[in-house]
Amino acid sequence: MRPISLRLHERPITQVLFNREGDLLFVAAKDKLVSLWYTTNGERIGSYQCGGVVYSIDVSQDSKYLITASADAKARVWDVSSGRQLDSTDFEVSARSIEFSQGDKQILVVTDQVMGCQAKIHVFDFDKDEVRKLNKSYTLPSPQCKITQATWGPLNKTIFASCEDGAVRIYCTEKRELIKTILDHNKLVTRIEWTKHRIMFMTCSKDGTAKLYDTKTLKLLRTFDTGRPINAAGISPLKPHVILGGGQSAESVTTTKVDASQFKVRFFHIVYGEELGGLIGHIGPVHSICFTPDGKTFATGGEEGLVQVNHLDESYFEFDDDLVYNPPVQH
Amino acid sequence: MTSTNIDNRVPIEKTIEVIVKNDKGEEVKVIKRYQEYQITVKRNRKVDERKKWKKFGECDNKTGLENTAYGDEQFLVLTRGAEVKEEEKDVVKCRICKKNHFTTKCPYKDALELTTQPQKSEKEEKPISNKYIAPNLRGGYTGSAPSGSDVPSIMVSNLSQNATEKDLYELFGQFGPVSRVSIPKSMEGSSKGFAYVTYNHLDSAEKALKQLNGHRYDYLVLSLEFAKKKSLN
Repeated sequence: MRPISLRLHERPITQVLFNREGDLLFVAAKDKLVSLWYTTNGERIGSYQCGGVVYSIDVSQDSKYLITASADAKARVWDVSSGRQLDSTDFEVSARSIEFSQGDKQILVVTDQVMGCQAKIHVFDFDKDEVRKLNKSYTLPSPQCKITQATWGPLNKTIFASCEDGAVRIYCTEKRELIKTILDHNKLVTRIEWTKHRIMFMTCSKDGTAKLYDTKTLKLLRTFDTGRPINAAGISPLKPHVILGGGQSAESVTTTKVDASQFKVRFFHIVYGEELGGLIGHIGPVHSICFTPDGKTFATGGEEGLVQVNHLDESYFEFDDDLVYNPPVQH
Repeated sequence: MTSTNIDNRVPIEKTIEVIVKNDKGEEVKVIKRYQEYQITVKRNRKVDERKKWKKFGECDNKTGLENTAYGDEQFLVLTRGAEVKEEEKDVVKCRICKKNHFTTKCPYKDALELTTQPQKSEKEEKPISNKYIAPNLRGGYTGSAPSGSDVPSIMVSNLSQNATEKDLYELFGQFGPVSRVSIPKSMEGSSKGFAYVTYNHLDSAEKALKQLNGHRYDYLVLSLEFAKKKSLN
C-alpha cells in the first residue's frame, strides 16, 4: 500500500472530507484555505480562500455545494466546481462546526465561547434554488461551555453536541431543548463519528478513550483505550473496524513521554475491542480521519499539514473473512 | 463509483503467427499466444463528469500534481490481540518505530527524518573540539594534554627516593624557570616515588617532557606526563 501524500498546506489540517461518491477529497486547514483533490491520483482541482482559519467543512450529497465554518465569524456556501462563493452569514464569534442535515435542507453552525459570548448551535434553512441560500431558523440553548462539534442525529430529529467538559449533549429539534446528557468521558470530547446509517456513534476524547454507543438506547457498547488523546475516528463502512488517530499536541509534548509511535493511526475491531495494527505516516498529531463511503480508501490529516490518502489493499479486506457469518445454503 | 467485475465467461485463447526476417536475412516464424477476456466496469456518470472539471482558484493553469507525492510502501499488518503480544516478546525491535525489524532497515526512516535530525546534530558536535592540543601530542602521542588547568605541570613517576627538591630544581631548571617542585612523602618521611614539577611557561614543560621522558636518573628511569587536574568528586 503506497499512501499518496498531499503537502500543500503549511499549517495544521483541521478536517479531511470525502464527498458521497468518494472521488473528491476536501481538505480544510488553518492557513485559511480549503483545497479540493481527486482521490484516485491526488491531483488538485482548486481551492477556496476563506477569510480566517477554517475549522469545519461539509459538502452536499450531490457534491455541488460546500459549506465552511471559519474563524472570521462567517459561514460560507461555495460552488464546488468553480470555487465561487454563493452566500455567507455573519456571527459575533468564530464558527467552529458546520454540517448539512440529511437531505441538505438545513445547516447547523456552532459558534465559539469567547469574548463573553456563549457557545450556541444555530440552525439555518438551506434553499439551493434561492439567491439567499442561508436563512436563520432557530438557535438551541447554550450548554454554558465550549462545544467542539455538533452533528445531526438520525432523521434530523436530534442534534448531538460534543462539549469541552466531557459531556455529549443531545437536543431535540422539535422542542428545541436539551433532552439527554452523556457524562462518560472525563475530558474534552473532540469528535462524534457515526457508523453507516447512524445506528451507532463513537465519541473520541482527550482522556485517551473512544466509546461506542447505540444510538437508540444510548447504551455504552465498547470502550477503546489508546492511552493518548484521540482527535479523530474513522469507522469503516465495509468492515467492523475503526481507525483512531490522535497524539499529544505540541504544547504539552515536554510534559509527557513522547515517541514516534504515538502518532500512529490505530486499527481496532469494533466487536472484540482489540487493537489489530497501525500505520505510521505522520510526524505530528492526527487531527482528522475520513473514510470514503465505499470503505476502500481513507485519508488522514495531521498537525504538520500533511494529508495522506491510503487506498487499502485486498489483504486488508481478506483479513478476518473467517469471522464473517455465512448462513448455510438452503437447497 | 468505479468498480471492476470480471465476467464469468471463459477467456478466449488466440494465436497470431508472423513471419519476420532476422539479422541474417533468414525467415523466422514468430508465434504469439495469448488470452483475451472481457471486463465489465461499472462507472458512475457523475464521477466521470467531475473528472473533466477545470482547475480553479490557486490551481488555475496548473497540472494540479505539484503538491502530490507517493509515500514509501507501507505494510498494514493486522493481527489478533493474542498474536500481537507473542510477537513482541521474540522479534527484533526497531528503535525508530518499535516494529519487528532492524533499525537500519526501517522503512519509516524518511517519515521520521525531522524527528531524528536533532539527535544527529548533537553527535556531530562532539568530535569538533576547539581544545588546544600540544604539538608533541598531536601526532598520536600517548600523553594527555593538560585538562582545564592553565598551569603547565608535569608529573614525574618512577622517581628515586634519594632525589630531593633541590635536585629536581637543577634537573628541570635547564629547560626554563621552575616555579614549584612538590615531592609527596609517606609517614616515615621517605619519598613516595613521584613528584610534581610546575613550570612558568608551557613551552618549557613541553621541552622537558620531550627530553627527560625515559631519562636515566640515579638508578631509575624517569617517566614523565602532564599532570591531570585533581577531581573534585
